[in-house]
Amino acid sequence: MTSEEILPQLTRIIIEVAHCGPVPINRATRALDVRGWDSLTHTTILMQIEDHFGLRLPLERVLNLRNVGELADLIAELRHSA
Amino acid sequence: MARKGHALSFVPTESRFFRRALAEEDCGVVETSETIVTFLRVTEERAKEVFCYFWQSGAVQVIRRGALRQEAEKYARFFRAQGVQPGEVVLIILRHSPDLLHAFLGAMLAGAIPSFMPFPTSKQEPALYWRSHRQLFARIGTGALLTYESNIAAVREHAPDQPLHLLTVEQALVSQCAFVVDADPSAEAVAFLQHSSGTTGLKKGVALTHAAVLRQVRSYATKLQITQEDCIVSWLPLYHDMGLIACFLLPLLTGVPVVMLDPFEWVARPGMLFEAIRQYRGTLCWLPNFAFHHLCRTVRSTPQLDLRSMRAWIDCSEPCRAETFRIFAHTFARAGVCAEQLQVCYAMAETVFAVTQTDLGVMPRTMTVDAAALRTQGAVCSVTTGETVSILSTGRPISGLDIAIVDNTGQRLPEGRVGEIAISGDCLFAGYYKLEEETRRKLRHGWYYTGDLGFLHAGELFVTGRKHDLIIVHGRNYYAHELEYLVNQVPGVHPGRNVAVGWFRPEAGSEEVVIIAESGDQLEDATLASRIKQTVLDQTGLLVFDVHVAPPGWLVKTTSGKISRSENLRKYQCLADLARS
Repeated sequence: MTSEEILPQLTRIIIEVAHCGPVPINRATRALDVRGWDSLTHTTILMQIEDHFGLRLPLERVLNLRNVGELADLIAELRHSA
Repeated sequence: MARKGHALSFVPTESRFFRRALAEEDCGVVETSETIVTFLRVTEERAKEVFCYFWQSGAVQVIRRGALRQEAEKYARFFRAQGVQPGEVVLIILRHSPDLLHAFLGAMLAGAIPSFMPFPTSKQEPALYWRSHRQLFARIGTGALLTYESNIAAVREHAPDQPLHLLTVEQALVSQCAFVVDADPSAEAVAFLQHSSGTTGLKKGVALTHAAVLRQVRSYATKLQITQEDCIVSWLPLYHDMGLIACFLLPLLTGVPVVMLDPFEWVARPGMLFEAIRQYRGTLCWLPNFAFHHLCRTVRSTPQLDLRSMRAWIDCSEPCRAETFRIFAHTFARAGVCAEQLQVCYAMAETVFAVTQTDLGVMPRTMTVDAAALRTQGAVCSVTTGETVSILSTGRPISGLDIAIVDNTGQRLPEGRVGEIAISGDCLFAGYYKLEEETRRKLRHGWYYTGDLGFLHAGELFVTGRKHDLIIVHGRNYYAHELEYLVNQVPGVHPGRNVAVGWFRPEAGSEEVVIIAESGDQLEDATLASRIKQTVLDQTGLLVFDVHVAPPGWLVKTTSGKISRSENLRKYQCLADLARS
């Protein structure tokens, strides 16, 4: 699965967890751009991602992500190496 | 009440460590000359005792008392060699690491006054972060700032012309000074400053003397019935009073070990707190209200989860809710959490830490009262036919502190009447550092006027709200007017036409900040909202929950022409409800 294929699924999880309503989310979107996406919501989003994609996100990697694109890339990389 | 199984080891008036420390000093009474520094002197036997298990990046560093003292001495020698004078302030801006502990105690050993400040997160723009500290640095005056080499250029560029010595951890670690330092501060000297409230530039440094800290810890440890069998587990940052006092100085002075987790790692992996409790048989844990919800939401209750060693989970630093306790006890019942372990503390930097604490082992009392009588008349009526509100007790004052509920003229109110909470006693702060007028305003005739509202009932304190525009987000304090000032500086915002409000979200168990700003430009709403969020984040570390950009004229004013926080919050809530439906 590529980052591009992951992005729509990721968008669905973010919107659902942050309760932010339908907002445009793309690779450049940062947590700051989405209503209600704070560090606590972030943890819940990561948990949902782990369940949905069946993987474990390494802590040192998730603390340094800058935008949705990098998160999608990380998921793609982990799925690929699994 | 004696604790089961610990009755013999517990001395009701002073913890074992205090008693032992006194024996070592060979004196039979409490020495008034004792300071925090006294407790760093350890015998050879005690040097091997573990002070802290420092968890970070999956590894555990064991810090023993002897090593803690040695590392602190290294910092003390370094500070003195670099020209830091006794009585000067040392600001410590470092990531979560053992260096925090060493530098803080080292500054104290050198006779200086340490103070922790939050380290900028990776999401904060360094230029704005350092620029926002200029006012604070100028107020501190001569003193020192300890940070990493990598920050020095940014400090010089964005906070120039300030008299602080800029010192780095890298220099300290290679420093080989032969200075002999063993400052002997007086008990009434200021031990450290707590900068825990307000935005960076306007943060007030709460000055605490050695004597006040020792009296607080002694009284609070007695109330908690702390013994050598206890083990504190914490993910709290040390720049916050709950992390600094309950989870650093209390274990240091009482001789119980503490497990310290990295706050950033904990937020991302909350389950590590439970893992630490299981591994070290943790007994005491302080959490702001939101953290209970965060744990319920993110940690799965599995058969492996074992929290049976816990004596108390103490809810503190933001309004505590009975509903929070119900959810937490229900979610983790299988792991051994029960309602009697869930306790409340009302605390603030100005009293070092705890003002009141509920009795451990007993479920805190909840009062259900008439909502209208409470809001409109400040009266506590348990008989009602209308809407009710449930308020959790925060317990009785700890020994050495007195509480008075006062009206607007400073007159004492009887039990069952809501008024401002004022506190007096033997562990009050010495004042706000270099802010005499502010100190005179809040500290009058030996009473500290908290700005919090509450009532007493059967000797227990119930906190109902706040007099001022304070918003508490995840245990951290922000003043609405300070946030509004920052938003006003953002290009594109109509000058003077914005408001910051605290919005309680039950699902988060905490207040969130919402900013409503009228647009004064042709900027796209989303661009302006992001710009406002980034500005507030850079300067305060706060991630605003929502920025609502409104057209000119949207904001409601009071009859006196001020923008009304309550009315605009109501209007915003209506919009949010509409959007949801």
